[in-house]
Amino acid sequence: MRSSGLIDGLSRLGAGDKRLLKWFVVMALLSLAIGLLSGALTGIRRAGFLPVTPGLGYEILSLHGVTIFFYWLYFIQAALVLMLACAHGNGVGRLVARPLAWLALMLMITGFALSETTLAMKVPLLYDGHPKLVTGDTLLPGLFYLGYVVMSMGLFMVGTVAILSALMPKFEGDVAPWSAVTFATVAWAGLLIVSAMAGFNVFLPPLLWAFGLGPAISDYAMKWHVLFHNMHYLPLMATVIIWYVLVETMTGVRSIFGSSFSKIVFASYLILVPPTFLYHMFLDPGLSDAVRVIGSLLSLFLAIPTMLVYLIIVSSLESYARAQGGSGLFGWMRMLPWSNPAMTAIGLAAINLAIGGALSFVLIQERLAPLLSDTFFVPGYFHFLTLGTVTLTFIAALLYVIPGITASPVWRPQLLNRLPYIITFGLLVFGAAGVTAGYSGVPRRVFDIGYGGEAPVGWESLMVFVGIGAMFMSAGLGVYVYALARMLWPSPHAAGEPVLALPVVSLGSQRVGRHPAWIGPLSVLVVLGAMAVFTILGFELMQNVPLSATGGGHAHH
Amino acid sequence: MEDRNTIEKSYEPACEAHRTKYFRSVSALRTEFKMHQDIETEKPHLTTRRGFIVLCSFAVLGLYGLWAGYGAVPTGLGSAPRAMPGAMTGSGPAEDMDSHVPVEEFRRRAQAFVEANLLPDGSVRPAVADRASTAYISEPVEVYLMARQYSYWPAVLRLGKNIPYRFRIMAMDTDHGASIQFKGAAYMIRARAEHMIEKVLVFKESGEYPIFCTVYCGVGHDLMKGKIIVE
Repeated sequence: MRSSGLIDGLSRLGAGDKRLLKWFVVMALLSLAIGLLSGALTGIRRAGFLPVTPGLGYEILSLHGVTIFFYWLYFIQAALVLMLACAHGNGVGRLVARPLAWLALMLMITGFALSETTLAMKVPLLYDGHPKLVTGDTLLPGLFYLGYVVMSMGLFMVGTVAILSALMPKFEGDVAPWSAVTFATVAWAGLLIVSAMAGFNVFLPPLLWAFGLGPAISDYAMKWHVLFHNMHYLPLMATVIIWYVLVETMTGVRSIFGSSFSKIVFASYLILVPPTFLYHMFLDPGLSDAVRVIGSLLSLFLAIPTMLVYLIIVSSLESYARAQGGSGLFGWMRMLPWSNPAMTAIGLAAINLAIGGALSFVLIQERLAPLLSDTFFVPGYFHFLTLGTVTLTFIAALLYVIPGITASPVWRPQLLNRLPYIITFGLLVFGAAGVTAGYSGVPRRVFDIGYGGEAPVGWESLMVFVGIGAMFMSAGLGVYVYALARMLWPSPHAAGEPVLALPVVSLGSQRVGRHPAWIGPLSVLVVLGAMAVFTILGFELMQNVPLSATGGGHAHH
Repeated sequence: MEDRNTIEKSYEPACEAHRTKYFRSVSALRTEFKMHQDIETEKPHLTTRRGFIVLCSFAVLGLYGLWAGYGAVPTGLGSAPRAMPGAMTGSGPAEDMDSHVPVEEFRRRAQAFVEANLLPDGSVRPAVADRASTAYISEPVEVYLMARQYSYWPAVLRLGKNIPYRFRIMAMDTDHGASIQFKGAAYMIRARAEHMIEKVLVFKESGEYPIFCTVYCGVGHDLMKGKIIVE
């Protein structure tokens, strides 16, 4: 087995650090299990296959949103950022201030318990916790907000511990520059801290209000969108960092563009992500024309760092593969270790990112917001990103991290290798029906989509396909959760067996300068074409609507 | 001298061997040096240059041209973005925007609007003074619409084709949406709680257009609907 930054790092971790990371992973998988179950129920309720009241449907939807968006994504990011900060590359090999990291874990678990309990007790809120929905007793909503605030405190500490752990070699006199991965991990940890602070900013005022310690909330939407925007892009940045690490682990390939270039690209996330939240608010009254146009323009820049990291990885892979004799436009891809389930997962994650990214760019054009913003287009596209890209990538990382910290081998890798295809098939069905429904005007959060016979013909059929797609997605994800959970406990057959023995190839030793790399640029071209097609479709649909509308301002009182 | 010659001759093979070895080493070094020179001067393929992939990524900014083609953004040629033909401009300045309208004041105005225009079937038809005499009415006709858990009020509006209506909409309790459903697409308005928004809408075809709430507003959200009948 070839060594790599990831595998070496995992082997250097001490027992105490492994125990801590294991608990973060346990909580991440518990959140993923609850989130996928509630997501499956939401999908099949939406399709009309589950005879429960819309009220119960919304409770299940809230459970899905809270558990996936907040707890699955934050627990897994905490585990991975801590692991990479201390153990990858020239890291010190141990967590600095580990007691603080344990405290962070405890706080995040407390937040998780508060959120899940208040949802079980029917708190009248969706996952965004809009306080205007609170009527009557404010105790339960207060505890709901407390869950988010406590979780944000834990997240803040996680980011701090990760940065301190990455800095430790510097404190100990190591003058070597950070690797691109360590640099990116520190940027990631920094954005986690920003996200935690945005969480305080949103949820602390309603928490105080709910317990009678603060005024009523009037500006919730803007604060929420700032937080939610960060929550969108943070996992996407983490995803490309994980790709960077896993590609080196599985193929030996490092960036042919140099470490400094990668650092600049990763740093650009810090500059580009925070100020581009405006596109979530295009439908909100009160934004001036100039702000909307600026919001659209800024959002165009959002894709640039992700496209660059994608090109760094794919072009490096292709160039190395060609240096090893790979040929043909696609033929070189046969040299990649496709029997490794982590490779398959990130390969399909890249395809899902292209689809989701192309669709998402329709929404950054402010003139299209009245057509699409609150429709089923939104869940139709973002599942390509949250599940198809981010979750698949984090699972790929866990296929290395869990064996590294528990010494259990990967459970049935051949079976796991098929799951990304099943999930992507489900996503294609779900996404095609969802996006079509969105263009047709199907509202996003409605369970009785027939509207007593008043809904246009075809809406209910589209929702049936949404439900079918959700079932495939949930089935694939369910097997993953089972497999990863099994690997968390030492297997009776594991003694003496190599635990990190997933298939790898070695492409990284040849000079690659003169070898071309076409697939990356061509796939970017295809994505740009798809963005243009979906945008044109939106504009054309709008022009055919028999309505003209001007205005949109509002008056505060 | 003989001895010296003899000695020199006896060393010749060894010297030759050293010379050969030396020149081979120099030759090898030269080759290696040349190879390094080649490496130093070797130009990477176009597709593996940093500038190329940066350019590829920035190509996404080309979408601006598409937006400009549809008149959705300024072109920098001194002209304001043109309104999209046959459709809506989603933003734009509110015309005659009312300011500081408290909830109760809005409720009072809406009540007066409904009472003045109520039809026997419970629907509301805003009065258009010169409906019969003009094909185009320049001053928009006022319409008040309240969105509340879980209904719109008035629930059914009867409007005229190609007449501009100034919709004044307020979400009375929590946030609501109003998605006007046309065949095959919808037009959405988002209303924040206790804020009045204004939009001038012109319906261009007759028909019945349902309105559905698009912002989750509580357990009865699915039941929240209204209707616009364009005659």
